[in-house]
Amino acid sequence: MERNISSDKGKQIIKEKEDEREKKMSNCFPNDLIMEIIKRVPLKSAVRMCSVSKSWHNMICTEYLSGQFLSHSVANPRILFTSFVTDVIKQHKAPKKKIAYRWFHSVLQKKPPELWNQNQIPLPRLECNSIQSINMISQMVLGLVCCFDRNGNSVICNPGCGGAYKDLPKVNVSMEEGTYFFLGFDEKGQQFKILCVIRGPSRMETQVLSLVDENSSWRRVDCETPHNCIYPGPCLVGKLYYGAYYLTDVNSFFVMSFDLNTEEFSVIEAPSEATGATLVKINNKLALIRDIPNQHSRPIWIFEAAGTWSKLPYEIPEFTDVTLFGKYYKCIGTIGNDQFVFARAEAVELSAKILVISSGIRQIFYKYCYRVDSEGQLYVGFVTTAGKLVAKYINKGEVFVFPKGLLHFQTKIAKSAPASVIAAFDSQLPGTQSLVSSLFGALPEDILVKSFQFRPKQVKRIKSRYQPKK
Amino acid sequence: MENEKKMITLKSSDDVTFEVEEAVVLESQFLSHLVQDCPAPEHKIKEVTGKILSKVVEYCEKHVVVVVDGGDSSSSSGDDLKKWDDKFIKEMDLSTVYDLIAAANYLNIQALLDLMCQRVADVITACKDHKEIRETLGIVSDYTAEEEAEVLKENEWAFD
Repeated sequence: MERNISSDKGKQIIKEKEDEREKKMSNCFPNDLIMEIIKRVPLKSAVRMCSVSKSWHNMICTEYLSGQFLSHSVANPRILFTSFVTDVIKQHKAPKKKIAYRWFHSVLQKKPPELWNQNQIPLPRLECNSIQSINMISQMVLGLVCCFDRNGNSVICNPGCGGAYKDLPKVNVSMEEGTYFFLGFDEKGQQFKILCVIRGPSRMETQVLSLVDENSSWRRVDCETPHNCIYPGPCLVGKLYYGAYYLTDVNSFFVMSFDLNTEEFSVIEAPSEATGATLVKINNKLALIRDIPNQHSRPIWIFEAAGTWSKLPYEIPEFTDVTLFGKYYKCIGTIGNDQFVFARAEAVELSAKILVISSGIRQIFYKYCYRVDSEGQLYVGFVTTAGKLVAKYINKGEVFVFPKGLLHFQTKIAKSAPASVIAAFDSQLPGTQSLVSSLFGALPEDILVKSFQFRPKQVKRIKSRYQPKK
Repeated sequence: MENEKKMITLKSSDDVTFEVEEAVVLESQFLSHLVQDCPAPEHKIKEVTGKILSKVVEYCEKHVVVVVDGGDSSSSSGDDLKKWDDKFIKEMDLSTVYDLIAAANYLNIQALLDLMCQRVADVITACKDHKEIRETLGIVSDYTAEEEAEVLKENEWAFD
């Protein structure tokens, strides 16, 4: 007895010593080794680590580590999906409340589109004040987006950091005037800038805001060409591009380029057939892709370094999928170097179908169909003869096999969209038997009482819900 | 004569000796310099204990063998090596991992250092919040309650 106690004590002492050593190890590592560890954790965990202790907080907030995180995220680019949603909340004994929010969802670019629906981590949505619904959004630049409205309100938002956002100073406009905002990054000056184009019946004005500190304010920048913007475009090598028309001719079309460093505008005339084209980025060059309703194929022009447009030898053919028939899909951007993304122009619902089309060098071929929300998901499974449950969630396009004669089930996940399945049997005389209704519908009462060890009254009650087949 | 491998003896801080092939030693940049500069048959490594050195030797031996044999079926042996690495780190407790990080850093074995740092990073990633990280790594917070609340509020989005 005594021996036992002493050996237990010994163990305890050893354990305490080990604990002490453990603490010492993690506290006394040289900083560069701790940094080696920290740079391997995802950003979210690193931010959690800030709350662990002061020394860690200081270490994580160093320039070295933010550089490491930045280069990691630049090497693993993501695609951001976003949609503006208004919703009415019904409250018990209270007036209905209208809410508006911007919904974000992001996936890794290298993940093939057919896997986009799986393991998705929805980003927190950005709640907007319903009075000033900032329902428009700029192109994404280095992980930031600018959300804005026609009345001069705008916020800068980082969807990756939980939708953290910051209000920008309001641009003063009158009732008849409208605002349009563009976000860009000035590579030479290493700062974000926002361009605001104000267009009213009597004037056209452009203003710029540099995101430097809290006190940044709008500065007026003169543009010699009176114009109005119609399509947003990409920000490439320190320049912002957007599609515009001259105020003197509403049917004209050209590309306006704004140098973010020198803050000068320049006009790039577009090919005459390209009127109304969308501005995208292909191979890090500005490109125009014309998609017009009822147009069978979509030609593409690339803006070359020499300042000329070259038409690509291939076009995006008409979509052959019958489910797309009669619907207008608009090119909304590109992924990597050779994939075009199309979405319904009017899509404001969450379950939008996105098309991703890959281009080869000579031809473009239609590739994938994808729905942003999770379509009807099923939970299916069976019980083996050993009494073990084998179950999984299945998504659209997936298959599950129930072994012949085994007990199985399938159920729709609550809250998911309606789902339909196609079932096939591999027998000359196939059939299924619903377990509960055949048990309680067909079996005699005394057998059920014995096998379930219920009281006869309980069995009667259950039986009353399942009428025997005649 | 060519096939005969040169053997080198390594001695840990607590005088445990390991006889290894020269190729194994070359995995460590520190040791390869040491062996080249002073061709003694025995090398004492004062900073590393026998327990940890045995792990280091085990790792290096495994990785050397695969590199030498991997000429014809490199992809499958690469997978095997990864499986072996996974098993190798799974069996270890955190304090051994710390010791190995220090040893890999000292002996300059980049692959081992990467593996071990990733292991600690995975442990941290699996933690739901800062309290769990503290508990797992045995760190004492030097924040006051107010300071902690402030930092938490700043980074609210990372906790959900």
